[in-house]
Amino acid sequence: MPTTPHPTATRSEVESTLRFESNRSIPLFMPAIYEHKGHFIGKTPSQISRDPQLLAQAALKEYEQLGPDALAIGVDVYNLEAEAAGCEVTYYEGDDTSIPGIKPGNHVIKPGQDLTNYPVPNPLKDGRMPVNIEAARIVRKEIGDDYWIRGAISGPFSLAISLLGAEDLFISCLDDPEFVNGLMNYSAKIIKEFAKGYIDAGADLIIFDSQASPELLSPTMYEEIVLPVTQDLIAFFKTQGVNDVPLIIGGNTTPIIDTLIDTGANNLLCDFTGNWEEWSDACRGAKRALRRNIAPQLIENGTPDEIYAVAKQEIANAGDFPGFIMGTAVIPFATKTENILAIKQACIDAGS
Amino acid sequence: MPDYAQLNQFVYEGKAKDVQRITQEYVDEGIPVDQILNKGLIAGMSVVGEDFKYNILYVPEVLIAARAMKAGLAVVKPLLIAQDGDSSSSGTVVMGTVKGDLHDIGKNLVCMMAEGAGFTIIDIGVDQPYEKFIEAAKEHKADIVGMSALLTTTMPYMKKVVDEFENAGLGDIKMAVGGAPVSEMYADEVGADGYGSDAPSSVELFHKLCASA
Repeated sequence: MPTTPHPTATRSEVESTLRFESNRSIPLFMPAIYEHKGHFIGKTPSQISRDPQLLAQAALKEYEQLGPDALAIGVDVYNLEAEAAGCEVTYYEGDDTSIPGIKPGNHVIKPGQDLTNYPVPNPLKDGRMPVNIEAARIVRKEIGDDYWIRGAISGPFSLAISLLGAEDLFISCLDDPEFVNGLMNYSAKIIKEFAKGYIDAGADLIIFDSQASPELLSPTMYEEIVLPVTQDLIAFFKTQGVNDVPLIIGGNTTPIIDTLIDTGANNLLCDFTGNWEEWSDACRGAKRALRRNIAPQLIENGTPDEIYAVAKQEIANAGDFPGFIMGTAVIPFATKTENILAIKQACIDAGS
Repeated sequence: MPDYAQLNQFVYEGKAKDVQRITQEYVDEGIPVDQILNKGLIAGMSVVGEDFKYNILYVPEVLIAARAMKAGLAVVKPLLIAQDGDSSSSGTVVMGTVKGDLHDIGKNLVCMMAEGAGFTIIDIGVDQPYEKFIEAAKEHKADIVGMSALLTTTMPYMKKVVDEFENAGLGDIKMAVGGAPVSEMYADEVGADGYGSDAPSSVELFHKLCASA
């Protein structure tokens, strides 16, 4: 079992925060480490994203070096389901640390397409779903059961964008809502299958749906198009034994707080651009845990002292909020470990 | 007498067929095409830009308005070019997402709104090295180069593009930057001439940069 000099929360300690019951003096620390995982083992995002051994090795190094209170298995989290359904992902070779992605035009669904009988990928065979599932299995085996490990999955709207392309989806939202509903349902089918693969491997789940942010999609459209499918997914995950579901939508999601609470996710995100007061008031009322992010530019370019001061302030702002989680936006590849550890230290010091 | 308010409204509501039909009717009636373009199409799109800025409209509505605008442009553009070699263009902008970055929603919105405001847009796509920006700027005699990045890991490449334009002796071309992690301060840091915080602001910036050239 890997060890870390930085104390981590047990599964039950995490659960008590997620269920808004925590009186833990040290806030949970959950940095968003995806492409940066490769940095811990001297590999690029493209390398670790295609090899379960490397991905597991990178996640275990993340655990050892940072002592986060949860791990997320995944690198380019918005691509896997779409790739398994047939979209082409661009990888970068050599020492290029760019993040793999789907180039415009490499989508697999066409506007208006009938998806009733469209094949749903098999998570044990198709694309890189087996890579993440196998990595989750390895990490679970190494760390043991008393720790929160999440398999990264796309939210339904972000997956629909990867499958169809952003412009076509946004236009279809107005031109052809029936098709969009069909596409959202198809996305949900893929997500459920992938989720079952992770669950069988011993992982819980974390949903990312940043492309449904109100910076792109109106709150009304979120409610009409995305909410029902997200509710259905979260209810399904509960039937599979996953009761704590984080829903991560980056950007300023303050305009859709109430709708996000209605999804049933018990762990939400107030990004660094979101309004903490509004978010924490709403989540206190609804008893939802809330992660607060620190901006990635600060973590990448600031000094540890500057980062520590900001983290300390965020923890102070949270006050006695029982479901508080100290987080970060996605950490850039080359960020110094000491900068991330400054946030962990602020959490530890808050408890002393 | 043309009813520009109606044409504006059809652009705003994204009614492409109506925009195309009415634009054609006005052309057939002999109304000057530059007037139809400015008072009918561009004026309609500028309201879309304003409402997008203030969260009255969102990306889907902007996209269908831009599609309607394009339907009208398809009618008037060939006539404008035949008339005066497209001197009606507000300026030429080369737009692209920088190397290592595959995101294009923001860039495409800027392209659509800038086109709707009368700029000639050369969209070189995503994941573009500085050589492609330079090649396109030279070929199309660009007034402005617009660079987009969504990732903190790719935005440093904007400086590389700015520097290479200087090295190539193209320092007189205005450089504009934008994207979620980019800021006014960052634009100054990399030596760009301006920063657009969203699509409408980028169009305002392009107007300013062209006026100062």
